[in-house]
Amino acid sequence: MSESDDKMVGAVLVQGGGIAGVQASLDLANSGFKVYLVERDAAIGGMMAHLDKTFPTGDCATCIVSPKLVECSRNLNVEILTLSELTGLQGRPGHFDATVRRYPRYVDETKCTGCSECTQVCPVDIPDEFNRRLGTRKGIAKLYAQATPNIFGILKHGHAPCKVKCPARVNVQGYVQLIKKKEYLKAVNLVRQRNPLSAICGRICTHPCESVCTRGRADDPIAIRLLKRFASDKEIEMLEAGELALPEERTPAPEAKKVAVIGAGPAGLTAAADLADAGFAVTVHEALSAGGGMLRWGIPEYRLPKKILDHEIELIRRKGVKFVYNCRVGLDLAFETLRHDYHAVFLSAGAQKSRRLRLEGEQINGVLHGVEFLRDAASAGKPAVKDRVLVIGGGNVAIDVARTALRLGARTVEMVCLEQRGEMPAYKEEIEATLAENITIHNGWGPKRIMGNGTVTGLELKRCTRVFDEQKRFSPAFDENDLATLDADQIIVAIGQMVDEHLLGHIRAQSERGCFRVDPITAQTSLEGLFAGGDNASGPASVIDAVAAGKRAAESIQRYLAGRDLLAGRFESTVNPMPDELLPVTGTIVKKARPRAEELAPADRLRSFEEVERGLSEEQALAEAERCLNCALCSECNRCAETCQQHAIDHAMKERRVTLQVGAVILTPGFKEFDARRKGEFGYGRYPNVVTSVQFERLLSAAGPFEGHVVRLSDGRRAQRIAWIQCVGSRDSAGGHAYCSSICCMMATKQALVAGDHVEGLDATIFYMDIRAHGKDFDQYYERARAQKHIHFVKSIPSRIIQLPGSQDLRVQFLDAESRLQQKDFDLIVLSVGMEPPDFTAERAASLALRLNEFGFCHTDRLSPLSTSRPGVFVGGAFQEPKDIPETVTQASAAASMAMELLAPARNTLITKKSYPAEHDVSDEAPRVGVFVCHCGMNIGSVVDVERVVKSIANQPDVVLATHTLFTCSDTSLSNIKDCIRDHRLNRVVVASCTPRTHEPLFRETLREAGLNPHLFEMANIRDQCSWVHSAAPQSATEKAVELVKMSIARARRLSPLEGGTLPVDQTGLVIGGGLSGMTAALALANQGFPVHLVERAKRLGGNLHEIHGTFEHPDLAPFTGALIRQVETHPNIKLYLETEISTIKGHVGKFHLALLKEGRQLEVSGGAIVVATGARQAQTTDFLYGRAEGVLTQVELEKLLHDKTYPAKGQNVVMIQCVGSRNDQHPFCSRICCSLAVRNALAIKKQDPAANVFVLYRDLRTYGFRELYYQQAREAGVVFIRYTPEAPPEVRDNQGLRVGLKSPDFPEPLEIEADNLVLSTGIEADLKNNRRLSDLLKVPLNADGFYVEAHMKLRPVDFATEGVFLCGLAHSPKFIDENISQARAAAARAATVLSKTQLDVSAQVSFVNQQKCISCMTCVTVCPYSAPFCNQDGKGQIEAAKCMGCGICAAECPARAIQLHHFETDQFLVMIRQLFADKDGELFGSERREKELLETV
Amino acid sequence: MESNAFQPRILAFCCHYCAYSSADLAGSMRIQYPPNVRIIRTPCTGRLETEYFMKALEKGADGVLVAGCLEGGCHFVEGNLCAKRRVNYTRDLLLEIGLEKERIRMVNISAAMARPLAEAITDMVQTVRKLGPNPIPRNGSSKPENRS
Repeated sequence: MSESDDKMVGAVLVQGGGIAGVQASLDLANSGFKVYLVERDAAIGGMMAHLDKTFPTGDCATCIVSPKLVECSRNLNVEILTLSELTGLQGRPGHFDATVRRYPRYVDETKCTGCSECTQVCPVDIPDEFNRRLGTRKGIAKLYAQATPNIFGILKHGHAPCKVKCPARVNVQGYVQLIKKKEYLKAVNLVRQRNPLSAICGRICTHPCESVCTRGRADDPIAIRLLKRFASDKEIEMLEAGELALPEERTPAPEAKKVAVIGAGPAGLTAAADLADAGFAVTVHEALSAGGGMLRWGIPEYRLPKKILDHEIELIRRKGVKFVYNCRVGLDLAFETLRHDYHAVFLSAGAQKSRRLRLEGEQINGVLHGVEFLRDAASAGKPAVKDRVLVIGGGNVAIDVARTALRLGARTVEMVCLEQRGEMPAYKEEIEATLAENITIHNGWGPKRIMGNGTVTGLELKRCTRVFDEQKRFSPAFDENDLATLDADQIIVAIGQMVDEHLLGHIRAQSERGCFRVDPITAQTSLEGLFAGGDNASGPASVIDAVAAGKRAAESIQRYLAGRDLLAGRFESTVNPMPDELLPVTGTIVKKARPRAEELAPADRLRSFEEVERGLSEEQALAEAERCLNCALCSECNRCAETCQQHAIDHAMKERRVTLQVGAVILTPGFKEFDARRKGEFGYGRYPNVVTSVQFERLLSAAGPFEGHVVRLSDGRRAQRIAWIQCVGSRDSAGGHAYCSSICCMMATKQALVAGDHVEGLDATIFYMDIRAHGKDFDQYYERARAQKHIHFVKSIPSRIIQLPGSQDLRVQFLDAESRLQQKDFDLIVLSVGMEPPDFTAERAASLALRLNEFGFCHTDRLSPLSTSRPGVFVGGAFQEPKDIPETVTQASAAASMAMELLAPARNTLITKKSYPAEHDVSDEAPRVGVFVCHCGMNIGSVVDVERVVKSIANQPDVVLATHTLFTCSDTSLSNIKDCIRDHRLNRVVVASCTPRTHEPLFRETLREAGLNPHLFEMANIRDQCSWVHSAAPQSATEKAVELVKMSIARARRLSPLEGGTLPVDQTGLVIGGGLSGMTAALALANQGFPVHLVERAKRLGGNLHEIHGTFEHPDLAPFTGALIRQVETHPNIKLYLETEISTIKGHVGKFHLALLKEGRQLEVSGGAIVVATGARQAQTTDFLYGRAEGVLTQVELEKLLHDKTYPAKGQNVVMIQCVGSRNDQHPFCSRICCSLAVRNALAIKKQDPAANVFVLYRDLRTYGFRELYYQQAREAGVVFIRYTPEAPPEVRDNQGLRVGLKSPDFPEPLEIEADNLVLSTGIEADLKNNRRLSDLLKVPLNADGFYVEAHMKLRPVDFATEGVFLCGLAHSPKFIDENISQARAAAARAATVLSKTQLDVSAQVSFVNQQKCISCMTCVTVCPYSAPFCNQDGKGQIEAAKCMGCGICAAECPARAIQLHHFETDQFLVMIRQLFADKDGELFGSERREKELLETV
Repeated sequence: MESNAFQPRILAFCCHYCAYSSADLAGSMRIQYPPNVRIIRTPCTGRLETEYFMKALEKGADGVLVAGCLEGGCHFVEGNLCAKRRVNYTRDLLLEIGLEKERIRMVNISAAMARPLAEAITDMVQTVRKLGPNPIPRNGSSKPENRS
């Protein structure tokens, strides 16, 4: 296929939903491209959503970013893919297949209404990463309160160690959390999903879960077994109290397949329960007289009361399981008969025989065996016990035997076992209980011979030297010479159990070492349809192992009988451990011991079989459940899914991969903050009162975890003395972060200023290296902070922080300006953490074929800052280089322009434009209002009496329908609204639910779909501003809701249909200025196919570029400059006007007219958008003898000499002075580029002659971002940097050669340097005269320094407030070449959002002037911030709808009341006020008509 | 909260971009404040006319609260400053007609300042409660009405 007939894809993938991604997406979508916005997190917003305020404007970050996010989510052509990541990219520019990994949200995005009921019931509290762990969030939550999209999500990355370790995979965390919420029955039911023997295991489980409990790393593991017991006992209590009924008895369906279970032990019971639940007819054949197996016959009553056992067997029986007792398979019932009569058989007969010692004397009278002894003890005829009993064995059975013997009347009981105390297989708590009952345990002895003659008299012992060999296998060794004897009347051998050989003989399935041979996963035996599990397959094991075996077998049998594969996708395979690094951090946990269950006093135990261990009290249980760390994050307790009325929650969601066809990719993944724990000397993570700068933002935020109270984390006390430590993880080559993060100085300055508003008497100290306030208006902001008495800037980076014991104050030692060691104590320390590349691993970069730089940021070139190493993949924002918000937004738009240029032929090919039915004309109709009052699930309904609201408003005038819905915003409700509009001929719709901020567009859309004008809609906020904030006052809330709805109805009746107009667009670009920025912007537009008029005052293109000969990375810039000029000159779409002045500018967005004056001739050009790129100039100076003494030159002059290789560097003494004419009263701003230029020139001199001396006299060295590396190189090359202060500037004398005198704060004595050359960094200044003229023509503002003022410093950095006019380059503020290129491209992208359309939509919510009433005072013209009103040919005020932003300021200011704002008209306000204060009976104050008349006559 | 004390009726005007957002946020954060307030949304506080405030007081509002963006943070540049001017003017008018100027006040609230907004409402309710009911008679009668 040839390139030309191969159509490009008109879609772009944007990776990263921070402000950069949002901006790029909006620009692309608004200029004719489909966008996939791919974001790793659960919501878009990125770092900006975390910030409290922004510098230097002090805007609330949320206020300014939220509308953008909402706009993005609303845009039909932006598809937001949250929890997603670009992982692979195939193909070529214009034609990519992008692979996107989509992580599960566990909430269906199309169903969730954001009602938050799930979050209310979620028991799990986990550290909130959004708040940087300063607070907690629920397992199911929104990323932050105002998150876009406004939907919930569940956080999980695996399962907790307790669940993974449990053989039956019981969801431990889940039931512990339910107990915390006092949901005891739900907890027991959750246990029983994986283990039907909840109450039993609550007593005797070996609880392997506790051994891996993460909490155990901090103090004690959670008492999981006791919690299970507590919940199970609650169930029994409720049954006994009659508060709960046993479940109904079930009977299997007649056609159900039959399964036989042999043995009613734990494995058999479990399998039977599961199979009965699955609908099988299960019969359990038990050899003995009652169920339970070892639970009944092996475990003594005092540990497991029979009533508990009976209870849980009864529950299983009620599932429809049939029990046949006293039925020995093989003896009473032939095994083959069973196989014949049943579809499948599960064999779980247990290991019911004691192992023998095979020792001399074992057959003597008085030697008993453990299992048999316990079984007899559990039966009616108790075994006779002698005076002195000796038990052999160290396991749990031996312990049971010993304690049972004591209870049956033995005078003394002793135990002998091979193992040392710590090695004994019995549980610790059992051993302790045994010792407490005065039973002696002899550890480390093995039996040699049972002594006695006819009857037992004692036991001869030999010393056991080791129990296990090196491989930890059981392999005891003895010292036959170390012997002892113990006297005894009775010896009970309890060294293990085995399967009855008799049974093995009957059932001819393969066996091995006395057990049935089974598949370890499927439990299949060698015989068809026969499965085996529990002790008879595994050998003696714990109850929970048996339960697990029963579960496994039940699953296999179900699969077997359904003819399904026995292995694929089994339950066990769904359990995956939480990665260790994601487990909760335990280092900082406040220790709290686990509770001990009460026990029966030892004295009371001796002769009784009463249960020894008592359960936990409710108080203990609740406190214990609270200790759980929620390792798995979500506990999968399922409460959310049960509660969600939209059925939106699906815990089984899986990760997916999707492939998207896109023409280009833009990477805006942002950055990650430096992990401050890596700078151990500052104590972050150890000292609670050391926080990071991002944490401090959350502290300051009114919506943060402390609601804006600046407190210490250790004690919640207000922090009064706060220090900031700069450059943590920046400018630190030892730590691998040699670059400067660019934003931290300003962020700390802002934080100190804002904290001053929060904390009265704040004492703020900022420890810094250089204050880098290089952005527009930043230096003025810094100076403002410096002027504050309570903010101290200290040039010093402390080497460590010490926490003072007791107060937990923090002590900082530092060198002051005079190099004296000082120390100061603080309440709180903020570490200004630097930026790191985002989690964009080398591996992922490789999979995208992307080159990263040495620090892991995206590799770019200074002359093409938006292009990555892969064609068709563009980059913007901090991933390219650390930068602040305006530059990020600028780069995002610029990257969008790169994609637009590439994909220009495919523009408008993939975009969606929605079409609506024709609008129904309502002008002649009386209002017919339909009111829909929302319950929002329980959110409104649980507080506000929704039905009463409906009843109270139903008879309001013109209301023809009043109804209530569960979720008005659900798809079914929306189509119901459409049906109602049709069926009831509604022409006004009122929805009383949440907030119009998020939902009005959705409902307006619904009206349009039903053929109604969207402005006939009105909303009453009865959730966010009523039920949620008055939940304690339901009656008042209901009254308020009624009034709010009535007010909305009153307003709705006054609404009129509105049409937003359209404007034709002249799809031509107008660029003013032919320097680097103007040329770049013109080319970016021309390459997209737009004709461009480029107007330049000078004779030639290029502007300041001609004076820049090279940069760090490009020593010779001439080829770049030449090529750029040639491209512009020869571009078919660019019409050039050199030596041309602009005389007038008329028109508005879509159609501007420029009157030009070229060589005395008048010309006129027109276009739809204007880009202002008029540049700035090098500042001139007369300071420091410039122009008066030999050897004094500017940096730019020096650069030319160095470039031309005409500078004689050899042996020179060069002194450079920074900030000449900058950062002073005349020029308070920083020129941004001079520090880097000085460093570059200094390096060039050092390169020519390393022996030359270069001294740079500076105030703050502002080589931000990666330029810091050159500063470092210069220092390494021997360039000497000496600081000065504006109070003591350098003094220059020309006295037979130049002499520079200086009093530096860093040197005790004054310095004097002889200079061959003095080089002055003079900076950049605005061309004030010309800027003033053009700003008047354009009606756009200039700042105090003469630079143009953009619409919004942060989020609209290249827009003017006037629509359709854009700004870039030095005319905006001083900046480097790469930054100018980005800004010029950004302006082009913004202009393209206008030029790409043939028509512009104009908002309907605009002001209009009643010409009859206008008194021509032109107040409107003066007050409008957007120059929308103008004086028309009749001398009256008129409003240019295209320029109007809909604020209504003119309407309020108009003294003649001639102006109204559509949709917010005066009577629409007044009618609400009148309605609110109307009398109870609904009669309005005065007649409504009279009011209206009055209004008209005013 | 639902006691027998005088329950002032407060009308609040909140601008769409900041104060109205923070009122929604107060809901998300479940911050509780007295149910005596009814909020009317306006695109910008700069849209509000003195008449609305006067009309509300004339019709029986016991207090009026105007909540706009932080100064310097207005979405429409200086609309909140226009509102401030008008609120101050209204306060002067109230004094002239013998009403307490405390019955109307303007606060500046950003979209994140849910708690301060709730506090401003609570404080307004308390202030007005101290002032007592709006003495202007309702229903056009010339005699002061005894409402409590």
